[in-house]
Amino acid sequence: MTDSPRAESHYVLEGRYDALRSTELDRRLQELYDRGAKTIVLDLGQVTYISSSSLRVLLMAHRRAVGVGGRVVLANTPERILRLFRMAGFDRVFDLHSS
Amino acid sequence: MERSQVGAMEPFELCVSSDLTQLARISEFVAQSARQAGVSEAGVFEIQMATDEACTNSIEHAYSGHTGEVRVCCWVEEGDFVVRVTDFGRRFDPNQVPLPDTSAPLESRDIGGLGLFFMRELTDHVEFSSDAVQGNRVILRKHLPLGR
Repeated sequence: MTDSPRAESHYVLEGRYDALRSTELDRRLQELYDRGAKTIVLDLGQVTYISSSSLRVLLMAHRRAVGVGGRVVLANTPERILRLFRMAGFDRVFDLHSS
Repeated sequence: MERSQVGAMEPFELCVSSDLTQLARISEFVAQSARQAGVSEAGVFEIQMATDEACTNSIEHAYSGHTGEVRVCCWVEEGDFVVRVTDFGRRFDPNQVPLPDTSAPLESRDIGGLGLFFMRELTDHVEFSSDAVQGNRVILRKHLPLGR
């Protein structure tokens, strides 16, 4: 996991993001915004699973980012996770990059 | 060619407490059962996710912080891999949850209802029932590949 206190922050997600870990994800993203991040690049390359709870957290992060003139970039997104994003219509909003 | 042999897999059941820390254990249990039943790897991921959403609903909404039991039972029936999630918490009525409009702009969309949406999208059939004796039940079905 890496991040830095600047306008663009990078954050690497690893493993399984179910409802339990969505709270942790929300807290980490909020910390990045509190430290001045506008654009957050999330590296999803090591994510094995993501539930609707964590997708909602990403959506809230996107709304916060847009509110301060930034954005959320989802990088290295595994194909099966990408499919979920497309299914939910997230591909029309997020800057999505596959792995 | 038969799609499956009924009874080819004995039912497996896992009973856990209504705690989000149990989700990973449930997920692994469902994955192992699904693989044994012959579900494809892509299908295993889908049924895992649908089950995870059903169990999350049980823990967060039906029990809503109270301690209870979540039962997950897997079996093969009529060409389907079946997962049943049971809880004995507050009655859950899926009809009260509006489905998300996935064509609406995300900026303005209500962010609720995604869990139910995925349960329906990632399985071949979803059924909800609720009564005082048998509790709240969600039955998820995934067609097995031909020849299983």
